[in-house]
Amino acid sequence: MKILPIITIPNPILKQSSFHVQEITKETKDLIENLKATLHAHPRCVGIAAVQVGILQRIIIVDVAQSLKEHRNNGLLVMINPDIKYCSGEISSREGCLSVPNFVGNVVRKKKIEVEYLNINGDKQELKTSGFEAIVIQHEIDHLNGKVFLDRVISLNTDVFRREN
Amino acid sequence: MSKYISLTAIGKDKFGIVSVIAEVLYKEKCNIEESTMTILHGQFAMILIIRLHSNTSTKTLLNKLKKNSQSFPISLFYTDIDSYRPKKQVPRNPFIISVYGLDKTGIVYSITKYLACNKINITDVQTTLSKHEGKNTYIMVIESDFPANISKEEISQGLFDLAESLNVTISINQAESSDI
Repeated sequence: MKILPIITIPNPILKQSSFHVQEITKETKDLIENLKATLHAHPRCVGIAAVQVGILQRIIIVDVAQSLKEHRNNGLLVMINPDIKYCSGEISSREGCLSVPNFVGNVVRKKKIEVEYLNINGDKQELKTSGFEAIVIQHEIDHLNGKVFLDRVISLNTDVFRREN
Repeated sequence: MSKYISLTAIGKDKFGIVSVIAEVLYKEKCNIEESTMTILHGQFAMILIIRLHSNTSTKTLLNKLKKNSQSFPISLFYTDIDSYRPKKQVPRNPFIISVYGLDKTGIVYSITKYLACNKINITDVQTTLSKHEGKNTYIMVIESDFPANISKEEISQGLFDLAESLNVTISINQAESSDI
């Protein structure tokens, strides 16, 4: 397992849409293991998309159990070709991102989502989740569509803060 | 009639700056009506709107502030305010404009000039330089109030053209303005 370097804005790769994974090969599995290692190498990191290491494949890893604050979660999720099939409600929260260092901002997301994806064995999965885990999944899927949270900031007063390192 | 001043204090950040200023204001029975404080590049900066007590002159207040803040390398400025309008006016047509890209001179100038030419009022701005692996990425988030007769699409096109020429990314979102 390798910890991969993270690309940051304004790297143009982050603005590109990622491609659907057609076949889960050994390379795909190796990439997933490296993404897991990369996620866990960053304290406070709860999600990563393959594009953040420069690979334009629709793969995200989410692990809300890594959060400092306790949130209801489904543990480590490997999602290949994730697709939100249903969403409802709105929730605002402060987001940060490994690809946008030293900045956090308030973003509105859907409160509840139902997401379809393939697991590492290529089996179709369905997950219903809400709250912080739903926010993280939407944030990561945004990466697959070439967006970072800065593209979604909708309020400024007291909402955008410099992150103190 | 109450007299108001705006007071600006800037100096190297150090524990106790706020309390020293606040202590003088409290003892002089002056009220802090509004304030904003931040740290920029290690410099603590505060802007206060102060309602003076009827028995306190601006000169007396400034002298006391200067005397009590001698242990801090702080610069103090004040301006008399003729008519105080409490609280920021709620923007009627608020939009958030996010700008980010490799840092270079002219980003702020080009964008704010475009907004001014279109009579878009900037109501708040936050900027930062995000440093990562030797690269400086400039991030600017602008809160603005669009005139009622201008559409988001009209402005978006102009800003996207500008983004291309500046090689930055610009996003526009209608601002959250509901009270809950």
